Formats: sequence, structure tokens, C-alpha cells
Amino acid sequence: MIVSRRAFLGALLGTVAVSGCSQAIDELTQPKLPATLIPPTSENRHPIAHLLNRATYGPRPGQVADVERVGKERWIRRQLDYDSIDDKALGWKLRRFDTLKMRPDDLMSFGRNQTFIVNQLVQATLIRAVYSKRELFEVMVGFWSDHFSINHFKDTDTVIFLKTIDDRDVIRRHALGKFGDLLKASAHSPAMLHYLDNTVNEKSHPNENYAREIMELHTLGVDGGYTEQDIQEVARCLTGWSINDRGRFVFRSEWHDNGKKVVLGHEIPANGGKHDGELVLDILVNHPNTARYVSTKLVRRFVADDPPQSIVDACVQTWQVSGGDIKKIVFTLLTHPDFDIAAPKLKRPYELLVSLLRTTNAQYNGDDGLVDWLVRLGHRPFGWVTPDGYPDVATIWANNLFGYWQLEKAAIHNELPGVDLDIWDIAKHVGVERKADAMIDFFGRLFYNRRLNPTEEAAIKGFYADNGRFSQDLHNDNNRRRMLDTLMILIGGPAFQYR
Amino acid sequence: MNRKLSRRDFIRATAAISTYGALRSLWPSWMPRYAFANEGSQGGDVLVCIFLRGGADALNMVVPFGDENYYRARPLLGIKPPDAHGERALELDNFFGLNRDMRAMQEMFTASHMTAVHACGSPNASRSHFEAMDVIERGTDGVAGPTSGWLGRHLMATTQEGDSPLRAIGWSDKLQKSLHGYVSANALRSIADFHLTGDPDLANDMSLALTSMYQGTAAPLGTAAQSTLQALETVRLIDIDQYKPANKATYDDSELGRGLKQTAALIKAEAGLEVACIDHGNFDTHVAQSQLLPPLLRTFANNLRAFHDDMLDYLHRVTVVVISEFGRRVQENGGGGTDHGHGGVVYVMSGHVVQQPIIASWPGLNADFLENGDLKITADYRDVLGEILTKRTARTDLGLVFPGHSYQPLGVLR
Repeated sequence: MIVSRRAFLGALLGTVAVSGCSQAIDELTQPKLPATLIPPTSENRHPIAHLLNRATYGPRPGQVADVERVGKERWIRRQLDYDSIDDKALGWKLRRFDTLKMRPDDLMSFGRNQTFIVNQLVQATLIRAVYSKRELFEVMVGFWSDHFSINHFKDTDTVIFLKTIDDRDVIRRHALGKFGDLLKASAHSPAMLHYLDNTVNEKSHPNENYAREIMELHTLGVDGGYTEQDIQEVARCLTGWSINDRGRFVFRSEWHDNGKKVVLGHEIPANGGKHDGELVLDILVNHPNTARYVSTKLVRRFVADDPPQSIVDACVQTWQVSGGDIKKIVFTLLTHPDFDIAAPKLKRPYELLVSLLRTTNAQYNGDDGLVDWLVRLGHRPFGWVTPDGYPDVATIWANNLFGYWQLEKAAIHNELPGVDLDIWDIAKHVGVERKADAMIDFFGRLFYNRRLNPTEEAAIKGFYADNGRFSQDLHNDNNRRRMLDTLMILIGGPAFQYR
Repeated sequence: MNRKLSRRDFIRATAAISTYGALRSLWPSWMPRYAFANEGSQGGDVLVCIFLRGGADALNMVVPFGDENYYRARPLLGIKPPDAHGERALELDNFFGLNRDMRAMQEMFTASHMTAVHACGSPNASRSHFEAMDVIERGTDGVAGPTSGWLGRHLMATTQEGDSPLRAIGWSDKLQKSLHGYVSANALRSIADFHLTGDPDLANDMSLALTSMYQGTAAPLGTAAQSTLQALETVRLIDIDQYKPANKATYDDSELGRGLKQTAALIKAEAGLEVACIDHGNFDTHVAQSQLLPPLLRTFANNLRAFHDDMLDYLHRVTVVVISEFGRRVQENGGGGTDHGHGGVVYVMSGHVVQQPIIASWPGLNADFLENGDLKITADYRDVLGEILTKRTARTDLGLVFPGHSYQPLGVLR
């Protein structure tokens, strides 16, 4: 009997998983370098590399050529149809993060202040960003995690670890669905209701926090045409939207304000009960300012800090025609002619780290020490304090450049915790490990997805050679050490800091 | 020949082959931070925040000798009035005196370079070190509110293109909570930790290569590269072991002394420092306070005086604020110590403080006036910090820094 490779791998992984050896799983599921690895040789960055830098967390070795073969539009369509993409290898890697699959009751049963639950979510998020074949989906998950930001560190004794449920049942379930479904799921999410204090919003003590943010941040935008009066009315509509001690959504009718309300000009009749809140969500979903505000944020994420109006307009139009179908809006965005001429977009620390690991086909085992790097760089997933999510403009992050360089240096020298990043492995695979200039040329193309320009080439090769102190021969340790420092300069250059 | 290219040689060489050519933007000679600031903005003070960890005994630091109840509550530990014999307080005004172990600070008070706000602290009633520190560092009055720090939010609200990477430093292994929320804050044990590599020749080569890589890079990344490379260069030129403080000031080798000395060096180097946080303590003197407190106070006062003298020419643009999570119980305990209390003292050093050594709306130490045996709070710490931010730093957003607090300046600064 001939056992297919997949069946064999599955059986092998099953055995390994039972024996609890996650290291073996990590090794078996690690992507292989393509047999022929030829990064772009063009003078300007390859257009497919531009797409992959924006629509994924950064191209993997050989991916630009792969996607070029498939074709840009076909690749985007495949990525949007993410359910049909086989992601079993990732599933194996995630098996040991048992809290990801738990029900709220299970999570609550651990008691409060359970750091391992929040740690598992962050580690799994990183692993998914690095390894998932549903690459555009993961980028969208990151976008919505910022849009519906929930801070893991709200206070010292919380049920905020229910973010794990929010991540699974709100963000991931609807990341490429309809915006209306996403918003409604978020409004029923225990973690969100707790984070923005709606769990204590009752008739006798109204709390307007969630009512304000759902309009200012989740739908209409700060200048979205609502008044302080609207905030108070929305808060009244949402009185009683709370959670129970099993970590599930509950509507407490005894807390609900049953009077008549007026929200954004719409009358909400008395005695509507929970229906009041649902009417509010419908009003917000269908408001034209929601389409514009969220589209602008999407374009800022995928295209430029200063979103081109042409792409925003196109997204708004698709939004209106499709009833907020996120797949269709993202397709419009990525295939818009102005997408290809987008201004440079600075990577934020998380994107920098993930792209470093992907570009070098590094192996990451989920070690929490790597999360500490993100904490140092101010960009731990679910760590942003205020509900507006991590900033998405370069002016905030550029001053972190020293931290970026430290991270890149640690990566190239294979000093990142839980990461195996072997530059020499790649060099040997493509046969450039013996000669300095060959190695610089190759990694220049791998990291930048184009040839080095003359200034870069002079700076990098000049740095390596140091007036002839270091010869081309990479057999001796001294020269090999110098080469790693050289590659740090290469990966620390401006081209790699941009998406 | 093995001579390294000097930076100047290197620039000349690369400029010659460069298509960008603009030598001045390529590597300007060291320029102070305010040259980077956006046009029209007011460069603010450098703000140095010292946290006395453990709950410093404010009543034995700034002694209310005019309140006879102080001596009733502290028969053993009470510090005598200035005109008495023995271990007397140093007179600050006709009601308050300074602990003799802090005598190095007395002249700072008399010269109106320092003032202290008494019966000051957080309205939060927690007597837990962790919780009380947490509340103060987050700039709130309870567990609710943002989890970032008040300084982090201030820095975020005032950040601008070209900010120095050395803008905010916590002299510590772990970033102080006050600074949380500012994405570019550094936790450094020493200036010497700010480098690309420990090998100085290699670090120099790397900086030169990166300078060349980033020439012509658009803002804000290009400006960030320039200010980062300049900060690296500045730090490289600071040999902290050879640093000579002005006016014969001497720092000791404590955490506070090292932090203040490095802060002074960075200020003088115009490295773009705006906020530095330093910790000093442990002030948790439940027992044997008469042995434990004096060395802590001497370290505090002597190093602060050293910083004052060293920074004499800079006092018009440096503000130091000193705070602790709470004061200690008015009544001394049976173990020669004091337990966790509430009201404390917030110290402010600046060239702009009012001519009044102590600012206090004194609640009195009569048992009837105490709050569960503790000195009542008559001044909110956020009003002191808010006044410093308002009067001495670049425009900030107090509503963001101290959310929910209605700011009422106490008149600490002129």
C-alpha cells in the first residue's frame, strides 16, 4: 500500500502530538525553501512584492515568483476565499494552545487574572501571522483587532481574558464577512462590553463609555455627525447589555431604560427592551458615514498614512453596493490602479518582526520571550491601552528606529528567543555562502525584492570590506561574523522598514 | 594602512559619489534638540521624576514642628523644633522644618529653587504599595482609568517628527509605569547601553554605513534615522566615567546618584532628553526607622543637591519632581517605625518655583482631623504635576494626561 505523503505526515504528526513533542511538530511543519529560489532582479521593487507586503505580513522566500505565476487577481480571489485554503500545518502548531478553543465557562473556571490565557492568545496570534497560508485573512484579523481594540491589561483583576472568545467568535468569524455582522458580534462580545464598561451600564447609573466609542471609533468616526445627546441616548438604548458570571452575554431587563429615545434622528419607541440596542446597531451599520470612516481606515492600513481619496471613494461605493461586504471592499482596494502607486508605508514593530521571520523562513516556536520584544517596542498585540487601537501612521512609530535596528541585529545574529533564523542555511541552499559580494547581492534581492541601488551597494559592500580588511572568502569565522553585521545594515536599511 | 576613516573623511567620500549631495542634511554637526522641533513650538523643560518607593515618611522629612500633635503622636521618632536641643529640624518657615539628614537641600529651599507641597498625594485611599504606586504612576485616582502612565500619555500627546530617541528614559531595568504608553521610551541602566554594538569600532562603522543607507530617505523615517544616529554619536562621545559635574558637585554610586548624573550628562549634551524617571528607596520603614531612614534621606538630599549644583546654569529649563506612593501613619508604632499612611510631600525643584519653601493647607494632626489615623490629603498630586506640565513643558493635553481630574493649580511655579 502506498501511503500518500499527506497521510503519512498526518499520522506522524498525530503520534508526535500525542507524545506532546511540540518541537518535532514545529520542525515537521516548517515550510521548506523552494528548490529554485530566485528573488526579483528588477531595478524597482517587483509589483507583486508590493502587493505581498501590503496584503500579507511580508513575502516568504520564493513567494513573489509563485504569485506572479498564479496572477495577481487570482491570488487575491484565492486569499479572500480563505476557507478553501488548506491550513492544516498551522492547526498542528496551534494544538498546544488549548485555551483558544475553550468556551467562556471553561475560561472563567480558571478564576480571574489568568496570565497564561492572554499569553496563549498573543503567542498563537504571532504564530498565525508567521505561518498561516490564509495570509490576507490574518492581515484583516490584525486590522479588526485594532479597529475593535480591546486591551489585555485593562486592570489588575479582570475577565479581559475573554478577549480569547472575542478573537475567535467576533474578529476571526467575521474578518472577511459583512461589517454589520462584525459590529453586532462585537456589541455582544463579553470582552468588549467589559472593556468599555457597558457591563455596568444600568438605568440608575448610566455609563456612556461604550455608547461613545461605538460611534466615535467603531462606526461613524469622531466627526461622524452625532451629538453628546446622541451618546446619552445610545447609552440608554444599551442599558442592560451585560455579561453573566459564566462569561456570556446577558440582557438584564431590570437594568434597562424603557423610555422613548431618539438616536441620530431616529425615534426608538418605549418598551423596546433589548431591541433598542439592536435598532441602534442597524442605524449605525447603515449610516453613510460608517462606510466612509471604516473605508478610510482600511485604505490607511493597506495603502498610505494619508489615504488616497480615489481608493476611499471606490471602497465606499463597493460598500454601498454590497451592503458592507468586506471581501468585496478589500478586492476593490487591492485591485484599484492607485494601489500600485501607493506611498511608502512604515512597518509597525509587530509587522517588522513578522516580516523578518517570514523573509528569512525562520522557525518560531511560540516562546513568550519574543513577545517581550514587542512589549519593548510598544506593540504587543492587544496591549494598546485606549480603545482606538494602535496608531497606524509613521509619525508615531518612526522614532522607534533604534529599537527596530536592535531587533534586526538580534534577528540576523539568531538571538531572538524561540526563533531559529539561520542565514547560512539560506545562503547554502542557493550556493552563495562562499563569496561576500554574491551573498550581499542575493540577500539584497531577498530583503528588498529588487537589486540594490548603487548607493546601497557601495555602502553595504564598503562596510563589509572595510578598506580591504575583510576579503571575499567567507570560509573564515572573522569574515562570517562581519557578513552577519553587514546583513544587519542591509535589513536595517530604509527599504526593509517599509511595507 | 589600517587607519579607520574618520566620520568626516567618510562623509566627504560618500558625498562625492552621492547623487543627493546635500552634505548638511547628510550629517549635520551636532545640533541641539530645539533645532529639530517644529517651527513655532516652544521647547519645554527637561522633566526629572524621582519616585521614593516604599512610602516615604513625609512627616519626618518635612517636619510640622508647629503642630504639637506631631510630638504627641511621635514621642520617640519626633524630630525636635529648630530652637530645641538635640536632633533638631532645620527651619524652613515658622511651622515646618527639614530633617537634618536632608540638610544638603536647605539652601535650595532658601534660594527659592525648591518648594514642597505638604499633605499632598492621591485621593485614592489604598494603603497597598502596589496599588498606590500604580494609581499615581497611571495618573488616576483609582483602579479605573487608563493603564498607561501619565508621562507616557503626555509624551504621546506632544510627540513630533524628529523627536530624539533619547526623549524619554527610565533609568532602570524595567520601564517605570509612568512612562508606559509612549512607544519610544527607553529603559536603560546606563547611557552606555545605548549603542548598536559593544565594540566601539564596529559601532562606528555601522553608524557610518547606516548614515549612507538613509541619505535621501523621506520624513519621518529619514528624520528618525538622523536623530537616532546623532543620539548614538552623542552617547558615544559621553564618557560617563570621565564626566565632570559643574560646581564641584558629587554624585554617589546609588541608583539615584547614577540616574541623576547620567541625566545631567544627557541634558548638557543636548541629546534631546525631555523626561527621565529615577527610583529611590526602599522607604518602607515599619521598624527601626531611626536606623533605616537617615541613610536614605542623605542619599536623597545629597544627590539632589549635587544635581542642583551641577545643573545651576540649566535650572531655568529643568524641573525635578519627587513623589512617593503615600506618607506614613502619624502615630509611630511599637517597633520604632511607622506604618503605611496617606498624605505625603511632593517636592519640586526648578528655577521657577515660587518664593515659598512649603505650600500647605495644613489639615492638622489632631486625632479629629486625621483620616483613619493618617494625614489628610489637602492637595491632589495631579495638580502639582499638572501645573508643571502646563507651565514648563510643551503644550500638552491635561484632559488626556489626567482623565477625569479637574485641574486646580496650587501656585507652585511662578
